[in-house]
Amino acid sequence: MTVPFLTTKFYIPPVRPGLISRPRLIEQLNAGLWRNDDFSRKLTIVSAPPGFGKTELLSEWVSSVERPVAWVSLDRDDNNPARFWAGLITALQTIRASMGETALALLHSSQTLPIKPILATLINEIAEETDALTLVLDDYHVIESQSIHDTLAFVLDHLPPKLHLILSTRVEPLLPLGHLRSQRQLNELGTDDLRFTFDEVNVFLNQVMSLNLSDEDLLTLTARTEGWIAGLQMAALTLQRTLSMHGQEVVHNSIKTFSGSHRYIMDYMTEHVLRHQPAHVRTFLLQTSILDHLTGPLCDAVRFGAAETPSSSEGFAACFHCTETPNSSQGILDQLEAANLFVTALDDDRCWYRYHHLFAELLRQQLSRTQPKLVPILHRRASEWYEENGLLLKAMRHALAAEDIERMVHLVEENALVMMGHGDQSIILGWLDTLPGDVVRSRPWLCVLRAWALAYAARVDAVELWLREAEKALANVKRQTLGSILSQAEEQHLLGHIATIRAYGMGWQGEMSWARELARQALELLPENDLMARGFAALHLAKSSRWDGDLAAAAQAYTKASAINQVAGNSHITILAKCCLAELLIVQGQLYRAADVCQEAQRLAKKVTGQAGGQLPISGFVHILKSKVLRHWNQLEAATRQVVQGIELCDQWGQVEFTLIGYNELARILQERGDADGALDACWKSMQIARGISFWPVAHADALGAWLRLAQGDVAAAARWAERNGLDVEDDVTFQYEFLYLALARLLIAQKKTEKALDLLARLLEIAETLGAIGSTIEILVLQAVTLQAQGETDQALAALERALTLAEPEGYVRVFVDEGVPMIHLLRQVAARSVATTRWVTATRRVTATRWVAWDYVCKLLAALEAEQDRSSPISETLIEPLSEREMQVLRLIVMGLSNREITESLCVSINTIKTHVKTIYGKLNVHNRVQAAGRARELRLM
Amino acid sequence: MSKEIYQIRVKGHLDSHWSEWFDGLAIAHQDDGTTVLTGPIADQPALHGLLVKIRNLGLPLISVNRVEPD
Repeated sequence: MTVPFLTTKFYIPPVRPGLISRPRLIEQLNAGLWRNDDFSRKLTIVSAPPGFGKTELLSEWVSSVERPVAWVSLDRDDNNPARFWAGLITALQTIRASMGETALALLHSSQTLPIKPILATLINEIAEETDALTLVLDDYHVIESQSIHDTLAFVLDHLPPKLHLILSTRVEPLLPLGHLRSQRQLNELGTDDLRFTFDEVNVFLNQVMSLNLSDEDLLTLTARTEGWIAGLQMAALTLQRTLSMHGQEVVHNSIKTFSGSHRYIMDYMTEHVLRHQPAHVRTFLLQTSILDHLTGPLCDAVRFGAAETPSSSEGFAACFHCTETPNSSQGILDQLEAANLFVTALDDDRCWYRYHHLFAELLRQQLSRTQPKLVPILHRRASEWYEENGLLLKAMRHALAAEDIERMVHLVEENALVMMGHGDQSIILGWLDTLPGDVVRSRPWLCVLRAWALAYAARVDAVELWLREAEKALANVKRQTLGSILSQAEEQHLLGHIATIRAYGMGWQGEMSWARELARQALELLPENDLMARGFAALHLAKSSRWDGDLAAAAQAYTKASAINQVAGNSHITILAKCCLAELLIVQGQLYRAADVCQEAQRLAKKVTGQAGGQLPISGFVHILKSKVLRHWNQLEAATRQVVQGIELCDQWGQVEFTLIGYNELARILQERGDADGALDACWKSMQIARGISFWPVAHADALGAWLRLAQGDVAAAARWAERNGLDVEDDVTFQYEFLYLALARLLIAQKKTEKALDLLARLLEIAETLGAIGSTIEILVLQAVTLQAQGETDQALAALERALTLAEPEGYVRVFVDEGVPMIHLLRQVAARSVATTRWVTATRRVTATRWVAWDYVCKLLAALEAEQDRSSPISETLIEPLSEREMQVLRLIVMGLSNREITESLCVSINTIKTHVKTIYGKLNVHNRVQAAGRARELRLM
Repeated sequence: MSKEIYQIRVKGHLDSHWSEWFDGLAIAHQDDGTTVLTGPIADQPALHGLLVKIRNLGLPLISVNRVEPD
């Protein structure tokens, strides 16, 4: 879990007994909000300086409304966009527990995701609500982050009609208010609306505060305070005391005096009010003024220091630990509330309070004036208490206020790793920014943490810089003559982290062998219990092993990475590791296991997003992998559905590397379904994306394009591709470039350069077999079989095919055979025949044969699939069973042009009978019955 | 880079003890019932920080002027 929110943040402040009701304002609010039963506007802003009762008004409004309302009390720590929106969603979940679940999960993902798509998800979920919902954001003026203003403006633009936002603020927020005003979407209440009117002053002072003032006095006070509520409250308290001690006449005189003075009201009153508090209360007020929120145990800790308070690990969660004696903090808070003295209860249990903002400000000023040396001490105590209770953001805030660098460093070092695992890297970077640069650079761990935060935020360029700083700092620390403050174990740990992050950086730059070495080192250096770093290192070891072609090692490492990250609770990386494992399994020819792992990944993703049914970005990749498996199984419709869904999801989240893998898959599927144009289109899209990444995916997309062209009969285009890339059969073939050379082999086959093709295929086969890349092995064997058959080497062809079938059958491969079209039909029929013969022989002789004979059902299934595809109007491959001779091509050309037999005779200067014979032969070879069909077939086969 | 001198005028008479809270600005009460805070301010962020402090006290802000040093 990320740093938790204080639950009181979402409580709707209860209506305080000591206030007056303001029906005129409630009515004004409602008039601007509702039309019949729906919202007439998007946004309400209540804007006024402190002390005008904005929060109290809204709290009264909420209690009067019979619709669901969510409330967020904002503070400075909400200036982090992810945290801000997480807070809003958590508030909405007080209305419905599952609202915004997916969006919340995405905000907490350790992957740095763009916020707008997350908000789009949220908006869509809210749009399903049938009730009119209101969300109140109290104290919006504390938000200074432009990013938050922008995202809020975005949400306002797309606000579902059933949601209304209310902002209370001291200053006009940086939102497109002019725009909203002109669209009549803005409801506003300002200072002048909120001032107390004479009547309200009357009710407040005479009825609530029981002062019994004359109209003249009331007028004077109204004028002097200008209806400022805080001022009137202060005045009332002072006057109450004066009344009880000196009587009515003195009260009247002091009002006159007060009205004649220009003195800042708060100065006038505070002293007065404070002076009359008992000493211990005065001290309490001053010392606790540094706190934003007050609760018994926290106040005790601040006043007395940790040593003297009863240590309570449950802290604020269990209020029954608070002692209730009059002089205990909790007791004082209760008294203050009862006396209506400037504290507001935040919850119904009376556990948490806060001071009126203005009063807190005054107290702080007095504290810093009278006891400046005490202030940092108080902040430090507060920081310690907050840390103990897991409220790290507040702990850091107070440490910063105390200017206690050591404490700040401690907080970062202790908590940063866990926080980053839950998506709080921007908070950590913020924290590190508040520390002085030289402090960070002198402490190896802080440098490492900074490198981590940058890595998580995908700012790879800056990472290496900070790793070097970490190494420098480490060297400095070791050189200290006072003895190193780092133990041997700690040093190993640090070096392990540095190696891990560096492995990541190297991988990013494509330096795979370095990455592998570093990842391996890292796993040796890192302690067993550092799951987060170990999980990361394992993932990179796997990636680089895969690159090297060490498929077995990679599979092992991915499984390990998945396990470690799952225990560490790092869902995103776990799912990613599973995806990479699935992809690897496909290469290794383990289709069923790959499908299983995809299911595991999908289940995990579902757990993260909860019931809402949203999808994590990484699910896009899962869909694409599923489509790969389905394609191998020749379930093309299902494969299409999966890949389209995958591409959409990846595109939405800007995961370009996966999007282009998706388009590559889509291109193949479409070609196999006979949609040649669609296939080329998808391939083109893939190329566009690839160009923005690096040469590698470009080479892939290019090779795919060549494959498509070959499948469509355009050998010339494929030949151009080979020439453009300088590919030659003499090249040294490596596993990394297998995809290129397989395409080259297909080209050679199409060009009838069978010797060269077989030579290349043999080399490719050796590599694939050595590495255990069964998927490729099957494909290569199939190509060998087809090529050998074309050469007339039937026995060798069948041997190769039978090997392929044996490998393919347990995993249900179908497509790799169907792709070869008609030649494969002939080959399979021969295999089937041999199989039958062998079966009969075995049955007859009851002798076990050493010859591998392939499952009859499987071969039949393949033949059926092949035949089904042949029946389709568009053939998959351009190869005719028997090619047309040169003369026949000439005749066909003339037929296509529309010439009659007689006209052809004249054109070619041969006899009519010769022509008729040719035409008959042509019809036979094309498997047609008339000229129209012949022309059509010729076009399909692109013979012209 | 020398600091700029600013004069900030607010409504009401602020006690002189507030000077420290406002980073040492001189506090002068005017006959028209306003207070003028005068003094050097390091940079724009510091100026805005001061204005926020004034706002947080509920002091009505009347004017902010930069003064040329004589």
